[in-house]
Amino acid sequence: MYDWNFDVIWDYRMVYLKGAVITLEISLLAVFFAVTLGLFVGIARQSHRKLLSLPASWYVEIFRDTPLLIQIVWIFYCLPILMGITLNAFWAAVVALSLHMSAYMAEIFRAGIVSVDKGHIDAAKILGLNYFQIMRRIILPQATRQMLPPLVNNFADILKLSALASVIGVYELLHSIDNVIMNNFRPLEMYSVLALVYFILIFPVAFAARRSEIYFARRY
Amino acid sequence: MPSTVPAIHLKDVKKRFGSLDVLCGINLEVEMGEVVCVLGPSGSGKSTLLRCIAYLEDDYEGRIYLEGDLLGRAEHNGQLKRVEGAALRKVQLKVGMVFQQFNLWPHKTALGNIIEALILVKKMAKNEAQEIGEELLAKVGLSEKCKEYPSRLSGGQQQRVAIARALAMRPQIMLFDEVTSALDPELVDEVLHVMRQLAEEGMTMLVVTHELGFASRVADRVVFMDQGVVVEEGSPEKILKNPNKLRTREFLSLMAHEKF
Repeated sequence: MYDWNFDVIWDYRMVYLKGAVITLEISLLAVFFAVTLGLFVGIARQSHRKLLSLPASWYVEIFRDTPLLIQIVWIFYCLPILMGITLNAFWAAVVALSLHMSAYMAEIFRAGIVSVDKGHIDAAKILGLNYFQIMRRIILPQATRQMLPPLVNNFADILKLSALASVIGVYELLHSIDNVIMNNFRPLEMYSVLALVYFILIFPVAFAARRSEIYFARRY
Repeated sequence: MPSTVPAIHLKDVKKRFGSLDVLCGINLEVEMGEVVCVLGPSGSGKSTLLRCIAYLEDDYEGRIYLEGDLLGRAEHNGQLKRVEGAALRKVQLKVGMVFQQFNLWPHKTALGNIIEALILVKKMAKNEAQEIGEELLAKVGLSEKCKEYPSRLSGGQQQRVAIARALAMRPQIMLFDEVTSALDPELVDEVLHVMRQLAEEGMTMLVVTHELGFASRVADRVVFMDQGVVVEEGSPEKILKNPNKLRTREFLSLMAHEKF
């Protein structure tokens, strides 16, 4: 039977804390960029103008159908050589995660937009609302309700996937802990607590999603 | 001579969906203040006709004039070109429309539904828009439902809010697309009552309906459509009681069997 020794954990509390801060930084930035990009790509994708919808579909396919790990490595190692764009490890991870997840966000936005009753749009058109007003005031508020659960699911995914940034040496949670384990040889304790820390970060997100669903359901 | 200009004037309007001809050359005039009911079997093109006049279907042939202004098109050297933006909106806003499925925005209250376009399109201040909204809700008998979301209203109430929403933009012409067809029978009258009131106030109305009672009591004229053409038109008396065409007679007897 393995002899657990959780005493060591307390000594490394600051490592966990600092790692968690970096993980949160990467994730929040990625959520922001992925949602913003995803919104535009999603709207472009369901446009009836081929000039918009075709590139948007390709964008989604390219970023969804290649592994995030490869995208991170590619942006960090290949981009500087091919295009002279050098990003430090932190921003390479943020950019890769944002691009990758924006493809998923785009699909959620597209599905949300499509789910809105065409009749609601007809009613808005005939009252003289223009395309942007209809999108902002009629479609997106309704689509949000539809999109919220998968959207928040993606936020949770981003938090989990941010661990991949460890491969290019970003000192987020996983990489920070890996680093410590090389000194204290306590992988079981360190990884177990690491999982717990991720859970503490992600659980509130899932909980908030549930609450907001209930809020919307009660409102109308 | 503005009084001689018809409120709605369709010249040879044709509309097809793919290979299906839905409107096969409609010519129709509706005078200002006139109430015209359109009858016809499903698939006859009645709804499409209204949707063209509302410019929800913009891909049609022919011309639609609203109070003498060409809708959604401009003429350049004898050729018709589409117009968008302000030039389109100016003519399109002459029309208000009410739908079979109400189409109220579920995330906005009754009042919120009404003031939305006043604020966004007419650039009205919010309190000014609210005043108009409350007035209109009172007019359709729903003063106390201002703050309710559509999901809390009955079908009849929702449809009355939808009528108030359309009226808020002060249209000169109102289009009604089978507005009572989705309602429980006991809720039909409250909606018809509001429409009748509107007709008495002199609103120009084009009403697609299966309510023969409403057509005979309120309409100035009845149009019977089938397979994308106007089969015949005339006074309600004439069309409903003594139509010329066999097709009209067949339809009316079918309706009578269904209803009674």
